[in-house]
Amino acid sequence: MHTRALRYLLAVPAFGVALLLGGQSTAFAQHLDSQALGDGIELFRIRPNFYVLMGAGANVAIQVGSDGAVVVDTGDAAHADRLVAELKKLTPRPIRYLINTTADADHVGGNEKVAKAGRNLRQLGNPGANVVPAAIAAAEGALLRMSVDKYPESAWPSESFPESMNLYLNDEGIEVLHQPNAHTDADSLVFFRRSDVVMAGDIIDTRRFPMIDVANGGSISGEIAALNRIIGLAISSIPIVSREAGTVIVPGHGRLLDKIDVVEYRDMIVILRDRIEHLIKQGKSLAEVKAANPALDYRTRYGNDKGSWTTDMFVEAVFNSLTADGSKQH
Amino acid sequence: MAFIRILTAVAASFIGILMIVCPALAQFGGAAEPDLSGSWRSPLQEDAGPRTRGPLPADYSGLPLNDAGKALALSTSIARYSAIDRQCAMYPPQYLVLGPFGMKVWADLDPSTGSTIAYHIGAWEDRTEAVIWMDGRPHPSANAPHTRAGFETGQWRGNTLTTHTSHIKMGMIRRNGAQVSDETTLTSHYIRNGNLLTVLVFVEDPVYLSEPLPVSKDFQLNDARTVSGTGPPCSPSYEGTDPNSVAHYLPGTNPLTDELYKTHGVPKEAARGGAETMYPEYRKKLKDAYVRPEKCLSDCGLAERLRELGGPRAFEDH
Ligand SMILES: [Zn+2]
Repeated sequence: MHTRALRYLLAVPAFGVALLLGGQSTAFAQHLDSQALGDGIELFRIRPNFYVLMGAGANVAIQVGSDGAVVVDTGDAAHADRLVAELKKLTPRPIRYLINTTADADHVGGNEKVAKAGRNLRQLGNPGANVVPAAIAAAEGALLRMSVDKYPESAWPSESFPESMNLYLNDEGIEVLHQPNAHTDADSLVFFRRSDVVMAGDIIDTRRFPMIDVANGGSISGEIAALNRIIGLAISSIPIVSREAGTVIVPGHGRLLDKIDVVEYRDMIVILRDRIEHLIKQGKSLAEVKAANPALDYRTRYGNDKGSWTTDMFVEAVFNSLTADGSKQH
Repeated sequence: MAFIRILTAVAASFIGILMIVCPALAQFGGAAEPDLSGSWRSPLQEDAGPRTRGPLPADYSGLPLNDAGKALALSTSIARYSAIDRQCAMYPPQYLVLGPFGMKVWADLDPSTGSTIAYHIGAWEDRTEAVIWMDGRPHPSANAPHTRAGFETGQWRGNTLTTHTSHIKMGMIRRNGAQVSDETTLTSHYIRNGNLLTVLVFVEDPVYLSEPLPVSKDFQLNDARTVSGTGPPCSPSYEGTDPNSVAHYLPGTNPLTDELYKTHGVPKEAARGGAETMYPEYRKKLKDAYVRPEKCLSDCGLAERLRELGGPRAFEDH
């Protein structure tokens, strides 16, 4: 065991013990170590220096190493102090970068407090100066939304980009890839190339149909393009198919995934799009499309009759998005 | 009650085996545990056709699909499984009993006590390696990944190893589009009786099934130990599926719903499946609608041919 890995193990005693005891069961590496931290919060260690924290708003990724911590999404505001406390347990080094996959409150709610708990890399040569908070990176659309939604300026992205942004921290390349008009107009995927982990943000929610926020620039075609991009980045365990391995995809909400899970989710979304498009071509109104129950076979698993994102709202978003793009068709 | 009804639906041969189980219990007795390890061949004594060459398209009879499950099955085009991203995806763990192959089983032993930590069921074509944890560990949390083998834990009671499998992926329960969801769990009974092993699996899915689906399969211990413990590699290649679309049938357009009627004269409604089609009483309901074909249309003379060959060919080397 090389010294860096050992240091991580010592920093996180419970995981160290789990890893040493479970060392023989490498075939089941995909049933990754996890720890319940109380209050519904769960911490997964999915790679030696890569963690996912669930239950504090959207799923949060934490990559640690000698450069400090890189954090993808910061959960909701109510859990910000808790997230800072958990981050400090994972690494004694400063939080350097926050990356937001979108501008929703459950993804950026901790931005201000987590950034302030960190220390910007610009201070590397000047440790005595006043502390500059950690950098916050996100797509330009996210900056725009957060300024419109009246977040304090200290929560806004300090580095924004129109298409993509690359970082190389903690010995790995990190690609931040804007996906236009998917869940909203502010989405990015974050691909950790060495860890082989893709943060999908709200392009995937394993608990329900993806929330396509048409009012904020989301669209069904952008959603499908984003799912296809994730599938393109991810690699399954081939040609040795007899073992469980491959790229890990972390959705904005819900359980950890691999490539074939995303293929299954994409196929469902494409099938539902095709059905609704077919009904639109037959001249059906929105009410008639809803009445045709196009999501019959998927609504038990992914639908809701009540709450903030119902099956009807999903069908309506697809309908509106297709008829809006559809000046092309009609 | 539901359990008893299901048992009656399971093949009579299985009931026979259950009866032999009781004397076998006494034989093991004491602290000694039976062992699942070994090379188990598949004699294919039931459903040999569907489990080898495959089922008829759109024949879902005998599957307790609910309305969502029926709709999903009918919308599924098998061409979808030729897509590059799906070719090497493998089948879910219930394929152990739904597929044709044997299995090689070996144990991890605790070096200090000799007790079994886990059994490994080796991979084979379309099926990944599975591990049955015997050390009492809990199942992972709901947020953990779902794998191709799922997470299986077990305990011996007499000569029956009963296991519970969670964290599986959405996948086929019949190779013609009938599927269960990723919320499916399996309760499996590995019933060892000397050199015979019956594996009885109850598939439960709150999403697509209205009742548990029982599936069983017999295995025979193979002294020659020729069953492989690992499957061949898989490299996807273009099989003619358009990479820019997902193959499926729009509601009401599946062109293959007549196959069961055309092949066996069994009415279309039975092919749609549903819990009632699992039970013997369903025959009465079909009696008036069933028209016996004038001549045999499919698998004609198969029973005689199999008898001449000395029974169904075993998948000895798989
Ligand atoms: Zn979210």
